Amino acid sequence: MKKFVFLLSFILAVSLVFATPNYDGEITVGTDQNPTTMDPALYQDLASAQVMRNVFETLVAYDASVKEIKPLIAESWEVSEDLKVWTFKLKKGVHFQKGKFQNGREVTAEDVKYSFEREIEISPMVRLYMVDKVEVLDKYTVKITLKYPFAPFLTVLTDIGAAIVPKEEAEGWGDEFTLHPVGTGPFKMVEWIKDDHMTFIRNDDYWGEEKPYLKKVTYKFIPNKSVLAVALMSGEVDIASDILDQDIPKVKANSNVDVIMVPGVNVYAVYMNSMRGPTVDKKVREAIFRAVDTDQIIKVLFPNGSGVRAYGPIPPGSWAYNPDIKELYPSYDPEKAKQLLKEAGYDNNLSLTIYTPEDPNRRKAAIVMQSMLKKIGVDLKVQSLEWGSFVAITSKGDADMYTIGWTWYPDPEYFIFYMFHSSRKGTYGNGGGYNNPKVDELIAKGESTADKQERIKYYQEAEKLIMKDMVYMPLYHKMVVMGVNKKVKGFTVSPDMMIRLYAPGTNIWIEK
Amino acid sequence: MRKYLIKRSLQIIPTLFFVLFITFFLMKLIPGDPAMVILGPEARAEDVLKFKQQLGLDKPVLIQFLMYLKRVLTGDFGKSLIYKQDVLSLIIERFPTTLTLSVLALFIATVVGIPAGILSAIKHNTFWDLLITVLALIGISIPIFWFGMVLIIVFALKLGWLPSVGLGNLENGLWDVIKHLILPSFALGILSMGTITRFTRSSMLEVLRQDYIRTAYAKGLRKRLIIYRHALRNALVPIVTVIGLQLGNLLAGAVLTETVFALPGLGKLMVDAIMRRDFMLVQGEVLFVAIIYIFVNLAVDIFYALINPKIRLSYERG
Repeated sequence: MKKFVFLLSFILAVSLVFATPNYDGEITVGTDQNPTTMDPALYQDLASAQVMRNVFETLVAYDASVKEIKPLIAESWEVSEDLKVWTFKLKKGVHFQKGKFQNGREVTAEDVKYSFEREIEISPMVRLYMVDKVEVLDKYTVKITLKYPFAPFLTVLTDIGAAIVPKEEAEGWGDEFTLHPVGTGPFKMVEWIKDDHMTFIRNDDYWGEEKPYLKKVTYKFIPNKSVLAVALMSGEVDIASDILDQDIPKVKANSNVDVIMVPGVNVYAVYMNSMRGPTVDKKVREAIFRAVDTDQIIKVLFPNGSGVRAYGPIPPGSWAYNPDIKELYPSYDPEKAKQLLKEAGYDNNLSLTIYTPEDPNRRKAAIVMQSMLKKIGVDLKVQSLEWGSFVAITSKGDADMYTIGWTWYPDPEYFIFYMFHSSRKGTYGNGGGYNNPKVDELIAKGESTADKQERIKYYQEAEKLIMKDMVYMPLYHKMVVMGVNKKVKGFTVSPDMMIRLYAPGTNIWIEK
Repeated sequence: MRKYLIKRSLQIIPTLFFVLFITFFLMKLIPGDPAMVILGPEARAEDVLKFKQQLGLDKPVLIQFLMYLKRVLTGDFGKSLIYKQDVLSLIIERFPTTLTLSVLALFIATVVGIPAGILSAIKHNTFWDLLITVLALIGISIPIFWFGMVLIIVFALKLGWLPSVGLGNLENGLWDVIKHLILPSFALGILSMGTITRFTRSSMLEVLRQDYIRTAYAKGLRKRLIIYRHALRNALVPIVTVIGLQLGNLLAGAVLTETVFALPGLGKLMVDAIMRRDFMLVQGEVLFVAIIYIFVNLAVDIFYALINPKIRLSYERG
C-alpha cells in the first residue's frame, strides 16, 4: 500500500512538473483573414487588429472573456460628473520596445497625447471622433475632454486604434511605420510575408510583471476555412480562428484538437424597409414575422449547433442582453399572417425582394424564407450580391428587405445606436431607414449616463420599442467556433473573435 | 524581321491604353462606393467625405482618368487603399510566387500533356485513345477549387506526405519550397494538361494524315522515326503557341489555386482588391498582368516567326 501511495504521488509530481508553464513554447495561429496594416491609426479590419495586439497596447483593455475592461498602460482613471472629462493616471515603468529611433524609453503622458492626436489626424475612420482635446497634466497624467458626454468612452479606448505609439518611430519611419511597428506590447514583429505569414518573437524587455510564456508566435493566413480546419487537424496550425458548422464533426473526431464554442457578440437579422415599399405597412411586416418559422431556419443553417436563435438585436455576449425580449417576438402563425396580408389589401399579389451578401448562411436563410413566404402568397425574390454592391444598395434604402450582420463591442451602444438611431439612416446599419424619436431619446440617455445598471435599462427599453415596431426580424447569433490543439494551455476563446495570446488575465503556454 | 518586330511592338501601345481605359471605367461602373466599402459599414459620413476628397473621387470621372493616366505615364501606379503601400511594390512582392507556380504548373502540364497527346494520336480509336481523351476532358472541366481540396485531403491529411498550405521557407532548404508547390502546381496545371493533350492529339492526327507521312511509310522508314522526326516536329508549331498562351492564362488564372492553398500570389491580391474596391491596386494589377500577357504573346509570336518563314514573309511584304 505504501509503495502504491508513493508511486501515485510520484506520478502526480511528475505530471505536475509537466503541467507547469514554460517559457519556450512556439505557437502557430491560423486565421482566414489577412491583415493589411500594422499601423494602429490606419487599420480598418479585425485581422489587422488581431495581430497588432501583440505589438501595441492601449490605456485599458478587455480581458479574454470580453466582459470587463482592465487597466493596461493606465493605472487608474477618473470621470467628471458630466462624462465629458476623463483623467488617466499612467503606470510608471511602461517601456516601448527597442526600435531604430529610440532605445526602449518610458511611456509618458506626452505619448498618449501624440498617439491620440495622430489617430484623429490620419485615421481614415476616426475612432476617437468624440475627443475634443488631450492635455498633459504631468509626466504620468493626461486629461481628455470630449465634445459631448459619452459613457462608452472606455470601450473606445480598448480599440487598438487608440494604441500608444512612440513619436520617434512613427515619424522616423513615416509611411514605413506599418512595416516596422514598435509599441509597448509583449511581442515584436520580425517578419511579414504578406498573404502568407507573420512572425513575432517575445519582447524580452517587456515591462509587465508577468513575462509572456510564448517565445515565438507565427500567424498563417489561410483564406479557405475548410482548408484551415485541415491545417489544424494535420498539426500545421495550433489554433484555427473559425471552424465552419459543416466541419465541426470532422474536427471534433480528431483526438489532438478541441472545438471550443462561445456565444458571440453578433446578431444576424432581416431588416425591413420602413421608408418606402410595401413593408412600410406594419401589417405586412407582422405578416412576414408570423409566416417565418425561425427555428426551422436555425436547424437548416446550424445542424451542428454553431448558431442560436436571436430574439432581439442585443446579443447574449453583451452585458445588456435581455432574455425576456423573447416575449415580444411574434409567434409563428401562418394563418394569422394570411389574414394580416388580406387586411393590408394583398391577395396573393405581393412581391418583395430580399438582398443578401455572399455569406452562405444568410443566402440559405433567405431561400428558406422564400419558400415559407410562398405559403402565404408572397413572392420573395432573393438577390445575392458581392459585398460592395450589397452595401451600396442596402445602405441607400433601396432594398425591401436585407439580411444584416452586425458584430462589435459588448457595449449595447454599438448595436442599438448604429442600427437604429435615425441619424444612421443612409448607412448599412440602418438601411431600413428606421426612425423612432423615442428610441433616439433613449440612446441619448444611454450615452450620457455613467451608471451601468441605468444604461442597461435605457438600451433594453429601446430594444423593446424596436421589437414592437417589427422592422427588424432577428434570426440568429453565431457562436464563435475555434479549433485549438490540446497542447495549447491557458487559452480562452473570446466572444469578439479576437485571439488573445497575452492580455489581462491571459498568458498562453505550450505543453511540452 | 526587324520590320516585323517594330510593327508588333507598336501594337502594344494602343492595347495597353485600351486595357487601362476599360479597367478604369469598369471599376467606376461596378456598384459599391470604394470609400464606403473600405471604411466599413460603421463609417461616419464625415469620414467617407474626407476619404473621397483625399483621393479626388469628388472630381469628374474624366478628370480622374486623365490624372491617373498622367501618374501611370510617369511610372507611378499610386498607393493601395487597403494596404497604404505603393501598388508596384505590392505587385512585385507577390509576382515571384505566381510566376513560380505558373511555370511549374506549365512544366507538369507539358511533360504529361504532350506524350499523352502523341500516344492518343498514334493509338487513334483504341482503348488508350478513349481513356486519354476522357481523362483530358475531366482535366479541362474539373473545378480547380474542388480538385485542390481533394488533393489536400488525400496528400496532406490522410497520407501526410506533403504540406497543405502556404509557402515553403528557403532557409529550410530548396526541398521545403518545392514540397509546398507540388500540390498547387498540379491542381493548377490540370486544366492546361487537358488542353495540351487535346491539342497535341488533334495536331498530330492532322499531320499523320498528310501525304508526306504516307510517303515516309511507303519508303519503309521506321515508325518511331516517322512519328518523332517527321510528324511531331510539324505538329509542334501550333502546340508551342498553345503552351505560350497557357502561360498567360495560368499567370492570370492562378486565383483559385492561390486561395485554396493560401499562397501569397497576384491572384489572391487581385481578388482582395476587387472585393474591397481598392481601385488603385486593381488598375495597377490589371495593367501589370496585361503587360506580362502581351510580352509572353510577343515572345511566342517572334518564336513562331522564327520557326515559320511564312509569317515573317507576310509581314515583310505588307
